[in-house]
Amino acid sequence: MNHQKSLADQFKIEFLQPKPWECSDGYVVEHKPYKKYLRTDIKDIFKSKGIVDPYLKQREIVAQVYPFKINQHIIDLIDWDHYHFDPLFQLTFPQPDMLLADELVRIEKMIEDKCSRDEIAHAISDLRSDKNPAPANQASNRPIILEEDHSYECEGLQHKYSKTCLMFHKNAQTCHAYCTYCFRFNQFVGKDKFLEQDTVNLHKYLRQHKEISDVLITGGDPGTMKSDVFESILEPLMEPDFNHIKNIRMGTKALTYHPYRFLTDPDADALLACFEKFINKGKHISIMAHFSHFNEISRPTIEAVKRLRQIGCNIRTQAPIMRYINDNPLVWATMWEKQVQYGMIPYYMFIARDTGPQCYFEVPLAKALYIYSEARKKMSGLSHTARGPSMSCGPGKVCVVGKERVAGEDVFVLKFLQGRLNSWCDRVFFAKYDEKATWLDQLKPAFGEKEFFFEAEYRDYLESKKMAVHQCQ
Amino acid sequence: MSVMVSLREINEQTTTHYDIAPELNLFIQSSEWAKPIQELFLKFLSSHHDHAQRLNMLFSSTDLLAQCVPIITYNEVLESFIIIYSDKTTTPPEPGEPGSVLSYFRSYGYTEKVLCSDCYGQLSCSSCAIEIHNGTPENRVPREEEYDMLDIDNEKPATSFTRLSCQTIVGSTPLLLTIRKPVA
Repeated sequence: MNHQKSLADQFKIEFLQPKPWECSDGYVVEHKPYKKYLRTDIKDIFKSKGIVDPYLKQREIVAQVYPFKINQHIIDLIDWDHYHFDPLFQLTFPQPDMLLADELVRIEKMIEDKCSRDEIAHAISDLRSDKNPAPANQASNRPIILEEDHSYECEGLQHKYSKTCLMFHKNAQTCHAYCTYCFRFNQFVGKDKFLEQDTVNLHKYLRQHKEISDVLITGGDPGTMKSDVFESILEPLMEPDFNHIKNIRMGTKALTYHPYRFLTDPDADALLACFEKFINKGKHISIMAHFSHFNEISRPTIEAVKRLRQIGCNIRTQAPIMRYINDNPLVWATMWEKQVQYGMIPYYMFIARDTGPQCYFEVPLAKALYIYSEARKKMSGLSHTARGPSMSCGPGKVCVVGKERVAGEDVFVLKFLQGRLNSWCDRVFFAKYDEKATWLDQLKPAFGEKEFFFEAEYRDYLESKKMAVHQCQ
Repeated sequence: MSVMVSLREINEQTTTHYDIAPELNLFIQSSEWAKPIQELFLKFLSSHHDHAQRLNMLFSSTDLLAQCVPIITYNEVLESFIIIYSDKTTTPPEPGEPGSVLSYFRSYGYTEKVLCSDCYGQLSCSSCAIEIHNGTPENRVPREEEYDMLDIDNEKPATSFTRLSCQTIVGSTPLLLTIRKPVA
């Protein structure tokens, strides 16, 4: 028996444990273990709330096309007594109208007819392909690493704007929950992967490109990466070789989807220590935080923000403007006001991209401009830092600056906040006013011009990029 | 406690006879491992009596098995065997589902090189696929979403034995696994 006991003792393992977070006012944020719920859990979530949802079947179909994932923290923030109208329910749960009626019927019928898994999967895949799953020519942003005998394209890096390089680490290919409007939905269903296996290419590319000052770690959500992965990215960047790298941005929704990541998770202390070390080397870390609605600003979120700011991180906030979630000036004004109150910097209001369930969420540019302007009017100048409404499209970030009447014509005044070619940055141009337009490609140049000033150059750029990639192969 | 040993090492080592518990012998020989792999594993036990003794005890004592479930794996890429004596008195919380095969691999120090997981066990890829060639996990039937991910793997097309290690919960019986090579 003793022998058995000593043998059993040899098998013991220990893990880092989560720790509660004690706030400055004595309030304690208890750890909420991360537990994900997926498509086949939708019915159980409703059941646990005592709800018989009339659209359950449709939601389950939509969730096959657009990936669904939620966690307990978000479930607890939803007002289940009025869930149909709850912005966080709209943000995370599939809605029947995200597919066209005939698309829904087609899949419903296949299920009724007991078609095979493969047949249904094929039909679902076709549906996804119809939803412009790779918007804004993202693949053309992949840079080429030049080597004497073997130049190659990097799958998990993007270099669109001269100063900023994006990195998609393989451990950041998912999020703590999925937004229903996600423009990278194809990444979560195993298609159109942008991912780096490790940090080798990133560091090699940055060494070759001294013009880059910012690295944006994105995904998915890099908030899902463990502290040791962050260390593998950041530690080398503290060496003299990388003096040109001044800023690290982390594009994340963890502050609202899983704020415990920065407070009570087992490696939260190690993550913050890693950030602090980097900042103490004279570099800047900016958390590019995705906030969609002020209802997401819970106590754990506020405390996570405080903790990140205490070590010197800045938090800049951004979100797209989406019907049913935040298409109201009051929502943006309240959200920006709260963000500023807690020390965050409103950074961008984006327009819904031309991908996925855009038809469900889209807000016309004219209405977005109105909401943006009205929200700003409700706030002090401190909250006027958000740029927008902005379209992240192939040629660059195009902001709708205003609507004016010029030379007898109603026009949108547009401006490149960033340009695929640096020379386009800050260029102002005009499009015919169109009350219904929701994206750049629906706009026509004003004043009888045949095309916008950048279009010919953009075509040339894409062509030359294609040739460069071809030469590498 | 765990061990990893390459086939090359096994072939180089001298073996001496050691009685293998009939339960363990049957478990290996009734598995879906190819015969040469089964033989090499038995050869490994003949050259590592300490592991043979441990496994013998676990396979013949239900009391011990409640505390420790062995996960015996053949990694085709590394051409190595890995034995993890998984501590069942505690549950590794991550990556993947608590108590998953992947969570045990990571808890015992095995990195991406041994068992890859691109999405850190979030059921967003199929990189951590394994073949269960004997034994029964706690969750025998994969959830639909696991099938979705297995379906898209062109490098390692799923077989009837394939599961994602991030979703496969270690149960109360030993597991015998294979980590496959991608098809050329």
